[in-house]
Amino acid sequence: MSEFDVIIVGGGHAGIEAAQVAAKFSKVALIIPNPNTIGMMPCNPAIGGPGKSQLVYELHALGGVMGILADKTAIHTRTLNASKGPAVQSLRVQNERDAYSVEARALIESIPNISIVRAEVASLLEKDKKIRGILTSDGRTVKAKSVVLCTGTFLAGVVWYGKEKREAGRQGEAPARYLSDSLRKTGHKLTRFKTGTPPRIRFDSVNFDALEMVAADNPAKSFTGRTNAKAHASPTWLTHTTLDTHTLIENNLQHSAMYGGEIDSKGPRYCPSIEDKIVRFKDKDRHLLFVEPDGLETSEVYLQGFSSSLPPYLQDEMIRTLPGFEKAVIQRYAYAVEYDILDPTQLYTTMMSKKLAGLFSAGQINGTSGYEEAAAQGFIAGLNAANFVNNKELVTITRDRAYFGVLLDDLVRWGIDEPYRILTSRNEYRLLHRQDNAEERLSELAYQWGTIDEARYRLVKESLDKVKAEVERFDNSRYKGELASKILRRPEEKYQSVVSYIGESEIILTELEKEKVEILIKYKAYIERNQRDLESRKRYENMKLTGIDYKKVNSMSNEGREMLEHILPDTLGAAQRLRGVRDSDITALLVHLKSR
Amino acid sequence: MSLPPTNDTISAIATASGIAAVGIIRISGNQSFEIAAKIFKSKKNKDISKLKAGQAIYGQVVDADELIDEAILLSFRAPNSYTTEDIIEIQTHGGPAILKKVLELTISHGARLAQAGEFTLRAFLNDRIDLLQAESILNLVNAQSDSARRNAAMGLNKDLSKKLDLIQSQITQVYASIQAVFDYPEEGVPDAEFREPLLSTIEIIDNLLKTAKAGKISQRGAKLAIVGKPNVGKSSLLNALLGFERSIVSNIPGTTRDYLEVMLDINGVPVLAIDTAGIRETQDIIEEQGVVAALDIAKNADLVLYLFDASQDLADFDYDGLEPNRSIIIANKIDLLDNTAKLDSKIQRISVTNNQGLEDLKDLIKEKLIGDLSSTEFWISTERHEEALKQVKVHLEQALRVSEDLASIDLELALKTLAEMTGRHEISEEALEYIFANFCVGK
Repeated sequence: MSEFDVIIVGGGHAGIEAAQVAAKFSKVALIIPNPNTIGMMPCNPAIGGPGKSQLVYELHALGGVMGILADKTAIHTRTLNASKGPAVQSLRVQNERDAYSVEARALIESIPNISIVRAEVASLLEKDKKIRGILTSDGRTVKAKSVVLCTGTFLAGVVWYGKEKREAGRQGEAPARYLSDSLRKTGHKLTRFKTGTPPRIRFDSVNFDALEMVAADNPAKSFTGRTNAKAHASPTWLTHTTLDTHTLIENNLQHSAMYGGEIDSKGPRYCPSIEDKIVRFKDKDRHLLFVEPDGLETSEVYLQGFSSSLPPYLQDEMIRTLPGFEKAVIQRYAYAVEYDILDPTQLYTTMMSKKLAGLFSAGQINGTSGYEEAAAQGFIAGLNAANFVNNKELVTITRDRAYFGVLLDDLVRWGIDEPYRILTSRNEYRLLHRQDNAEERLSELAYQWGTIDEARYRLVKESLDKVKAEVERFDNSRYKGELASKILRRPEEKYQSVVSYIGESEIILTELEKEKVEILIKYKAYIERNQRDLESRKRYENMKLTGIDYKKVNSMSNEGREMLEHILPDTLGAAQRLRGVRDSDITALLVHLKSR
Repeated sequence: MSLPPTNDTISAIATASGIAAVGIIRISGNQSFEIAAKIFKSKKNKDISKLKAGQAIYGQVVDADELIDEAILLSFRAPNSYTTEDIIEIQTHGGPAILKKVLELTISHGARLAQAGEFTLRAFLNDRIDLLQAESILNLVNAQSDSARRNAAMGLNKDLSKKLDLIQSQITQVYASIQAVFDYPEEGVPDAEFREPLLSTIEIIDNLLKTAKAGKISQRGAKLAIVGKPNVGKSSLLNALLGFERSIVSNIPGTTRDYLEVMLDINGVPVLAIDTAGIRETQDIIEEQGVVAALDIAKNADLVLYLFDASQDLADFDYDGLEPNRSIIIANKIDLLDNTAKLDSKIQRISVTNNQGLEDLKDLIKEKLIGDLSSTEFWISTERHEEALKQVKVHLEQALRVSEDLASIDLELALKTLAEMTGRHEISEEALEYIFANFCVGK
């Protein structure tokens, strides 16, 4: 029997962040059946994208590692929405799949406070409504005061190739067979979700000359300010479906597990299978597909947009209807996977279970989709698992501060009925929560939490002061009688063009800092309005609802009371966002708060 | 559902609606003195923004240089006020049109129209009232706002609901399309200019707003001023419109004004008619000055009747200077005229004594006030709805001017404002549904 402070179950993107942050404050056991699978990218070999890149920047600001791993292994970077304005600009990085995993494992192994334990978890150990550790499937007991579950799609996972199914967490790996029961026994409600992956094609069987090439940004961009030499070494490519593809699929729908009725759990709208796309959009004669390399010396490419639950023999035929893929050979077939999730309304925004103190969960087990969403939750869950052990207050991030907050708040307040993906449109404060200002928004918090050191915090502050000073200079300098800041607000003007009128700044600014100055000045009116709106609600967001017995609140509607008791919102602000809670319930709650 | 913000400045008419001797506009929040300073001129030229607590100042409410009404301003300084915030109360001579005008001024200078019970909510949040009081007051507020919501849900007439739904879905479509490009770049969503349909949305809103006047008039009555030189028959016309002979003595006590007001029903439209009789009638003034003085009084009226003696020479009268929708020129005593042909065609001809032309005049008054709308078409009948739609329009116009990431924020705000009227709050969910139904996105 071994004893730790914190147990992390699973070494995917949630598990990595949870382990590395918890290890800053506690002794960690990372439990995983096969350590070679740490940091795998089972879906596409890319990090970032709209909403997701903001999460990665925020995670980096807080002391997470995803940005570092992604930058180290980047082979192609691209700024999306470059022409659409800073609120929605986002970075997407293609990675060397194997290198990412190797780097991730090396990082975990380099942290002295983390012990890797090879095992499958059989059940949770609990006593007096508190977690005590876990029991492995080979009969070992691992004790700890808190446990973080980052099991991805492995909980009672079933993989489908056409109508053939087998129990698996993902291709070729055993599922977590026992944990679901243990969760049910400790009072948790589970639901079943479904997602899918596209086929991987042999690199040398693709005729790349027939594909449209998408060049990488040069110079490359990064999440951390440090790019590697290969960061623009590879292009990506585009192809598309043809009428032949569509006919083939339409004629064979009955062979799909989804359309044949075998799988009835909910799949993500964000990740429709190629069958879904063709059935739902009959009038479209082609669908765009993305051909992503797995690495620089790779043997396969990933065919984004072509996930399917049709049987392998059909996939072979389907692939060959695509331009450039006439002779393509599938190396790994597309499959659908079904798995158990914990209904996330059973969680606090700290990612701790309401049912079992000391039990945390993060990532796909909570019903999200995406590496970035998983990593963000993993970080919060891991930090709080350590805080729980050390009797420190559990922390969270509110939705007015970051995409992190939007993700956590969305998850716990409504629950979800399909895999949840972060989107810029989910964030009403997206103009304030840009990828360029993640550090200035979150460094102070991270410093307070102890997840970044003082030196780094000071650097952020110094940079911020430089930006402020430069904005001030623009507000006070004139060119031909006109304020520099006013000139910069014209759509055609840029920071550099206005500097050519008013002269260079005495302080040396980095490119990123110049960009910030430009955004702050150009978008001033909107940023201020957003800020005012946010301030105006702060009062409610600061009214804590912890420990309220809703039965004792007078004159509440039954519906409102039930919802509040189920979700247990952290604040009055969060309570107002719940469905079925009326104005009169909120005022009743207000009166109750004041009378306590 | 959500409670209103707590740190901005709010404003509302604090007296019951209807025609009262004195009406009060209350402004609460840290900007209230600043806002008051912009719309209130003290007789003694005091700086309103620097007023101490407990002052009562006599002066005028003004819109830039234009006089709106004479009024008294009361100042309360935080924390010694009902809400514990800075409060200004402006007492005017009542009259819905004037109160509304003053309220609009406060809003155009940065106040937000307060929701029902919002002053009380602030008082409570700031510990100004105790729990017992609070519970009873807040219950009342809830009862009101619940019934207001019921009204909002059911009372919105069907046509208005439909129109708002249409507006909301048009905006949602544009918003969703823009967001689809943002959230699914490079995924085959056509990167087009999606905003054009907003122009037609703005047109729909404009048409709705046009009915606001009629809608509100149908609820609270229109203000009708009758101006003209002495002895042209103003009082007789008023009596004729009233339908029976009656001495008009509803001189409003407590006001310094010498005009007469009387409630009329003109073909189903409630009208508060103001006869400028009594003002300067004894003075010997030349015609032009008389018209100027009358204009001054009439400027807050919804409609002004300019009454002349048919035998008078109107050659110098400046027809073009009048707003056609707000004025009717009437020649009285046409029975004394042999030949009416020389009267301008824009002039309404009547003879009060012979009961001639009065029915046509009533029709015309009705038409000018509410147009050709039937009562089912009074779509917008409350200030709140009008204010909300105006705000939606501002956001849409802005969304057309700015870059797309900002436009999406304006559209979101427009949708939020609409949601307050329609109760459809699931903005992002509706947008997502539109995206997934219309674009094949997701990898």
